Amino acid sequence: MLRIIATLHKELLVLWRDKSGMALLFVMPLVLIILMALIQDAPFKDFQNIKFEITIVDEDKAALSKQLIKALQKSNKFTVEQSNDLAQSRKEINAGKKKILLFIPKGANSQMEAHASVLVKQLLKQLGLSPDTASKISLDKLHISIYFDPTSNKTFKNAIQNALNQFVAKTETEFILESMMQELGSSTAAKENPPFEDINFISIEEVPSNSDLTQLEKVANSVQHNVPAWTIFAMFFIVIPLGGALLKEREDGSLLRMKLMPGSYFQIQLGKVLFYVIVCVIQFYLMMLVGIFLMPYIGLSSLNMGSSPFALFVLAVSISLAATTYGIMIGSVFKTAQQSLTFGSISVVIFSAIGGIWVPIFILPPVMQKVAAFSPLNWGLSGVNDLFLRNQNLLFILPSILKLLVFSIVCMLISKWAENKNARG
Amino acid sequence: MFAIDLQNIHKTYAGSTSPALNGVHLQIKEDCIFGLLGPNGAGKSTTISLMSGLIQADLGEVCIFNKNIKQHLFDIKYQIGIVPQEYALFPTLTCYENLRYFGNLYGLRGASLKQKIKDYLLLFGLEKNEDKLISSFSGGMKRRVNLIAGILHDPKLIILDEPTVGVDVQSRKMIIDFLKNYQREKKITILYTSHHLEEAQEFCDDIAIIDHGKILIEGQPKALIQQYQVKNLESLFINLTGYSVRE
Repeated sequence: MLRIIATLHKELLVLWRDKSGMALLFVMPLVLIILMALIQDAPFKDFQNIKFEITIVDEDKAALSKQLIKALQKSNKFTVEQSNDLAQSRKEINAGKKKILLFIPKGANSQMEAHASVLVKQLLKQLGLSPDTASKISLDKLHISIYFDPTSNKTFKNAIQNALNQFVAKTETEFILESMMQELGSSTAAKENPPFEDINFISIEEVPSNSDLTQLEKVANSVQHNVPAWTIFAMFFIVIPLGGALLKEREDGSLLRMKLMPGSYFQIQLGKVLFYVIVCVIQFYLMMLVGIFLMPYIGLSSLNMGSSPFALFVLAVSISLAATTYGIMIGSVFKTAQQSLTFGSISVVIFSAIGGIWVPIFILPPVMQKVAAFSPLNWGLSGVNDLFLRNQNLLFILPSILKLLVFSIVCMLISKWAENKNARG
Repeated sequence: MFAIDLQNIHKTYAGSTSPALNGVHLQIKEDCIFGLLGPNGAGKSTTISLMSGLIQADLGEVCIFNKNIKQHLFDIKYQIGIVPQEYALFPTLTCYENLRYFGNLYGLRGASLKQKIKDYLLLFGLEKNEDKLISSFSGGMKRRVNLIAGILHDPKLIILDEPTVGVDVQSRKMIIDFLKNYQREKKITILYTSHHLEEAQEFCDDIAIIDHGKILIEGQPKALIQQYQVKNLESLFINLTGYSVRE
């Protein structure tokens, strides 16, 4: 026990005096999570509650356009700005100053009214409620044009077009109903006070999966993704100070001295692992505190940590163990600091890229989603997401924990093999 | 009883075609200073690694104080103090912190360890530097701390791998004088390797010259010089190992 405690104390002193190592462990993740949460906040909001600015050039200035503009304004999804100059507005769209432009041509309203009238008459004729007037009249289709900023991506365009189609369909239905009431001779009073206020009596609304919870809104927002993701990334970056320290010990002979000492070298290594696991766990919880308390101060939402603190602690220890043993493996397998630092940092970046740290895994192509299953960073992040977003418990995240533990054991076995190989010369 | 007894030791490293040790027989009696001398790559470090249990022989038997090292490594390690050629210290720890850590690894603790460290620091003239980082120490100071770290647990056998390399004359004299007095006082065994043949001639009771993994000669320095009718140990060494520069 004395050997383990002495090693813990020694490692604390060594790390405390390694200013760049301390910065890498505590300042880098802080900067990373703040920057990445801020940068990725807008893309995450694109699919959530962001308001889009839409410019409307209304050449018709009649009931149809007024109704459409009113509906768009009411929706809270669009900020409507009106313009009279189509050419100028198109120039601004091309220059990227505006994102969306909607053009309603002259005569749109009367064309819509005519179309609705014909439809109603045909319907009434088929029902035997109308004299045989126009048998089949063909009308030109009404075209409302939409222009996008050329840099807009396809997903964004589709989302906007779908939303606008909904508004157009609603307005069209209202025109048809109005025309029908006129044909049936409804009174002016009925026209002014329609029997229904909202024709959309069927609506589809998303209900949170954990609807029994009354916690904060559990959504995969920028903070919920970036804070745990980049914290795990930073935890794995412990390979740099840890791998470097091991190589330094080997180069200056202190590793040799420790191996020559009475007792098992395993106890010394255990002390080292224990120390770095503690450091990683502290690092994890510090960054979670940043997510909870600092993020709201910079205009982002606060981190929600789920409701299984014990499961989270076990997961944090498992991730820390995987990161630490990976660092020990890197420090044992490579013979120079340069090799160890290069391989260590690049491998962590690759693990993070394929593991869904940079962007959520569901955005990745199917092949990459399968590859992600081989990244220890992904196991850690999946576990955190299960606890934070799905509000699951220890039993549910057990597969992630087991994978991390098996990974740690494999890393230690490889380290042992490499150490033996080095000792044999 | 022999402090060290090597019987027909063979060792070839993986990937190497020539053996590092090729049938080495060596017996070092207790209560003496023994010098193992040889050019670079002769087999000195391999011999030391075998005696310290760091590596195992392909063939042959290594006994320390009549105990086979394979079977009694744990006990034997407590009886050996090794001072490696490298400084083997943590540069970002102070002199005191380094010695306290190594003392703890030997199982020493508390006030007795603290007093022991203070005594050694005073003996080696380092008492004013105990709170300074090792990285700020000169080569001579590091050598002295390196030596203290190897003897904190009062070993019966000290293995010194070039303990005076890269130090000034004053530090070298201090180290050699200390080791002589320490050996005489504690009646321990010292195995010493060095390229300073003049120092070895003066310091060692017995020596052996090793080359190409074989012991070429063994005995008391003065007796060997007389026997081979050479001026000094260096001449004898050159006669036996030749002038060719080693890798």
